[in-house]
Amino acid sequence: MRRHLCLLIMAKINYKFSFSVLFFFLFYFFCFSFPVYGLEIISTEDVSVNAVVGSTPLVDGGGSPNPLYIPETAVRFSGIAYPYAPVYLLKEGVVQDKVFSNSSGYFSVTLKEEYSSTVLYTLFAVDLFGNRSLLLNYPIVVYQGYLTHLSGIRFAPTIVTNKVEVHPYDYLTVSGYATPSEDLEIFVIDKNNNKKKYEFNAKIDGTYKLTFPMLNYSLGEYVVYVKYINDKRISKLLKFKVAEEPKSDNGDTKDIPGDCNFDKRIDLVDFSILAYWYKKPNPPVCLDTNKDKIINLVDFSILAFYWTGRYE
Amino acid sequence: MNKYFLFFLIISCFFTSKTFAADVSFQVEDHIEVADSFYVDIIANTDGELVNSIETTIEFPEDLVIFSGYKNEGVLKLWIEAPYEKNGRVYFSGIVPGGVNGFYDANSSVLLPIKFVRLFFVAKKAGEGSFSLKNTQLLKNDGKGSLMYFEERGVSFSVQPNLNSGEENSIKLDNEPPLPFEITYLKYSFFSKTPSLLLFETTDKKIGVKEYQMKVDNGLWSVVKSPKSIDRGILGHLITIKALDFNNNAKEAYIYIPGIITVNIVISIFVGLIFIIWLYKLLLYK
Repeated sequence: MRRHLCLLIMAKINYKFSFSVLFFFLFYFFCFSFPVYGLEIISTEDVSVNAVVGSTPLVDGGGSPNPLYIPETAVRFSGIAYPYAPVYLLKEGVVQDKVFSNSSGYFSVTLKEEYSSTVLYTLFAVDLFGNRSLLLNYPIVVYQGYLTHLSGIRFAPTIVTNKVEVHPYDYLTVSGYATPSEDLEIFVIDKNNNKKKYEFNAKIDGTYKLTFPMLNYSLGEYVVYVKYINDKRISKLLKFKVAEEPKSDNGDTKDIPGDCNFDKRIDLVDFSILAYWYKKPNPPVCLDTNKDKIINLVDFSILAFYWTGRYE
Repeated sequence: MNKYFLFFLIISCFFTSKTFAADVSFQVEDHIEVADSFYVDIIANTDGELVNSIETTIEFPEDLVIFSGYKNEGVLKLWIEAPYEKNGRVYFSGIVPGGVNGFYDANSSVLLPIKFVRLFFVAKKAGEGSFSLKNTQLLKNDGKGSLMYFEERGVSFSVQPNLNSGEENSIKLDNEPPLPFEITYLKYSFFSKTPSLLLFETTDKKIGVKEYQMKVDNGLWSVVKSPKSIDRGILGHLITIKALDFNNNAKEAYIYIPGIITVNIVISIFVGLIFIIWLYKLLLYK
């Protein structure tokens, strides 16, 4: 933010000052001399972390007259998911707890810890249609005797489409769950990376639905995703195709790249099959998610993006 | 318009891109003495970008240090290739499902760099050396596997003479085997190009798993990697997989792979034959 603001101010001021070189240098050092990336990340995502001495003391006296009071060690995650959504908390890939968000999507989950460590926590939510969010990972330094609170978490909206192949005279409907009444933007990207954007609002119950005509789209493949305005996190990417003769069987719009056993999940089985074909010639078409005829790190990255695991 | 201003603005673009560039680098223990086991963390500052996969090669001075293992202390838990050493280079690749953009520490006002993995080395002799990265790929968690642009930063280190040479190395004292594990048999599907696979994975509390070995029935051990393709054969086989850590402590796991001819098939053939003979006799007497 500060970087952008500074560049803007510099551009404006320049017109008014002919002897701006000195000014420029002073301003430049003010704007760029500090490593600000970390602060930017936290403000962009609105996720912040703090630790306070554990509020609930535990008594560990063993029956002695002078019991020892040990502050509780715990981590807490809070933020916005979707209305009435179950939110799962995982520690090192293992489910630890499940809580439900309220009508506005707010959730808070606290997990007791025992000692100082660095732990990878993961969260995901499932909307009322049964669609899962992508995974959110938070590697956190846990301090013994402190409640470490990560707040401001926000899941990207869920997304489904009603068709995978659409006629140019037909319409495509994109729907899902988001934070109630939040501003959203849907992006449709063609294979040349040209983007079309639609802005709208989620309803008060958290659902959203956008139907748009395919008239302005040429024949070919597209990718659609949704995100909150001014947020970095995006939903899953869904593919659709504009075709003169769309398949009458519209398939499953929830198809996941790399899910070659068609169990609607991306887990260790899919990872292992991909690992078997790593750098081998002629891999199965289904595994080669980016269609470059080789299984390399890119295919693994795509798999990692869509990872669902078997947590429920 | 002041032409000087334009000139400085263009120059500043180069500086700013350098200031905010992402990088992959090392974090090495401060004080290293001969015979010490020391850690080297592979870390990345991604400038807030979510990344989910990494592949890299680490060059180290073979005359000065020996690669002695790794620990799953970072965010990498799913290895495409777990860290292994070959000709003075350590290779590894892995993924983080969902991606990460940094470490969250309440004592820091900024997001800390991502720690992917902790490698261990043992210092052989006193001297100066450096670790460097080669052919590193870091991919974004954007569903497309886009390349992250970053700088590979090496690090120099020095090994001091050991003043307390009688002290034994803690790694050398490790006699704990890797943790117990299970073998999963992923059966070949008729419509699939992928053969039947054996999946296995375990961790070692101290210094990581160096390799896996496999034997079929009472055959010889051979080094294998998970996933391992496996033929069913006519008769069933007992498969043993042995996980060895970097100090050669071993943990074994077993699985029985049924052959093509199973007891059910034998019984079915037997019953079928009896039925045919009975039918034949019945027709013959009519």
